[in-house]
Amino acid sequence: MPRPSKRRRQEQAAVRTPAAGPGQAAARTPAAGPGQDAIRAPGPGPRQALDRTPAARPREAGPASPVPARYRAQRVKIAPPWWQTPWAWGGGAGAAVVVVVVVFIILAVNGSPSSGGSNALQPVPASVLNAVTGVSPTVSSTIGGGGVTDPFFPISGTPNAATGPGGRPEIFYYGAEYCPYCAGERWSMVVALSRFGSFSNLHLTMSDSNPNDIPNTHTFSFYTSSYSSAYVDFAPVESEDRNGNPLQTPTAAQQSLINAYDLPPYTSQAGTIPFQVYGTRFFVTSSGVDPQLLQGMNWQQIAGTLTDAQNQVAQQIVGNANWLTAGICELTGNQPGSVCTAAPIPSLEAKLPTS
Amino acid sequence: MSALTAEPTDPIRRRDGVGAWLLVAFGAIGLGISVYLTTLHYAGLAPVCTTGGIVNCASVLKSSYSNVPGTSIPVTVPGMLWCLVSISFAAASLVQGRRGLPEPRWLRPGHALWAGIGMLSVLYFIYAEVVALHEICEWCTGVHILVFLSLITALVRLQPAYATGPEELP
Repeated sequence: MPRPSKRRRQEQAAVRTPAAGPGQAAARTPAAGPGQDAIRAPGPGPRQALDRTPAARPREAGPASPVPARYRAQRVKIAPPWWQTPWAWGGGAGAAVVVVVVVFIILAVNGSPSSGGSNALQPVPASVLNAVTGVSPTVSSTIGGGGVTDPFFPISGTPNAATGPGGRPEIFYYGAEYCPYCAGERWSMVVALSRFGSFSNLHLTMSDSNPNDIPNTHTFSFYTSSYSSAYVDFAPVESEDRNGNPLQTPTAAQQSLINAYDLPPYTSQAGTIPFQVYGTRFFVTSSGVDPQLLQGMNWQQIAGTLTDAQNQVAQQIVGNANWLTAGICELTGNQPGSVCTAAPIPSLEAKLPTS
Repeated sequence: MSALTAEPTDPIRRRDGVGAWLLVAFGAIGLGISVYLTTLHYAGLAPVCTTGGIVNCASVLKSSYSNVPGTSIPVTVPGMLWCLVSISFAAASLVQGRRGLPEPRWLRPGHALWAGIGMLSVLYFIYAEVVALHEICEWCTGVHILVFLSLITALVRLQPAYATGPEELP
């Protein structure tokens, strides 16, 4: 409050004197003589503290209090804007996370190109199927055995190989979706078996994603597939999916084949996969296709190599398929002739082991 | 004046204290689970969990997503580190409060940022489980929930509910 002027202070002092009447000057005490200033109303003397009771608090504009005001920090509740409330941020973040998780679930339900789960949901695209079922005879002839070692072991002694339900020679395959060597072998098997019949309900999958293995090898799955042919029956057993979940179990007859032939010295240890039995003639305990060659390639890329006889991937897949074809021709009595007499099948067939 | 130097009955101090203790608890439980899974990984043992169906932690923990990309280090190791750092942030807040000292200005924003980084990692793992593997791991999901709760708590602690202002004495 600004300090009043000196004249204003004197006028105010005069008003306060009880004895002063209208127009009269401030009353003088009897002791006051002429020349003396008007006696002002007594104020607090020295050393007297200000009366702090609310009633004594100055309410009119007047001279400033001689004691400066003091302040202390005190909490005052001030309502923040809604976006600054604690739960706005926490609730918003929580809602965002929930939305993202829901999106992931929708993606999972609708299927993802990278998924290769136990149900192998993705059917084989037509382009891939056409490539594996229509390998050019020229390419096949040029590749020949492809540098692949003869995969067959002869069945000797009293053969107990299974025969198919139609009385046709049965080709038994025992593997698993997680297995990278099975992944490589299936490419050759589809090429070879497609020369004698046709697949339906064939699906795409990948081997397991274990980085200590040969992960995510793109391939097919025989699980839930079917094969029809006038020459051979095909009995695949995929024991586990790519995540190690159980899928199929061999029949007793199939298990007896595994017990009889899938063991040393034909393989490093009993039960090795992939394992195949060709009628009563041969069995196979290895893969003719190195899955390392397929690393980093998707199905379309792998299928695309099958038109190039100089491509290393094509050489292994088609070369191994030619060996398997030769073995099947042994079972079918070289039927169909268009397959079993076309190069390089006869030359490979001549190299097959005998019992 | 820090909220933690106000009277013990102050509702702000009570809320902040509860939040810090919750963050310690979340971090400790997550650390325990991470240590358990890491031990089993190096011992070559399977964890105690459901197998088969959509819940299959053995399958998830055998997948490539269970390792830090490009390495053979299980993801539970950085998970342990995350929990330790989170516990450290919360413990620092509690210690400062006990001493009557103000928290460093960077402490709560730093903790919220750390929780956000953890949440981004969790979203990656949820994608791997749900979309790529079509299977989830119970232990992993437990840790994911703890990271999520840590994020919410850290964000709640980031925003004060009161402001200070001066008032003249009567």
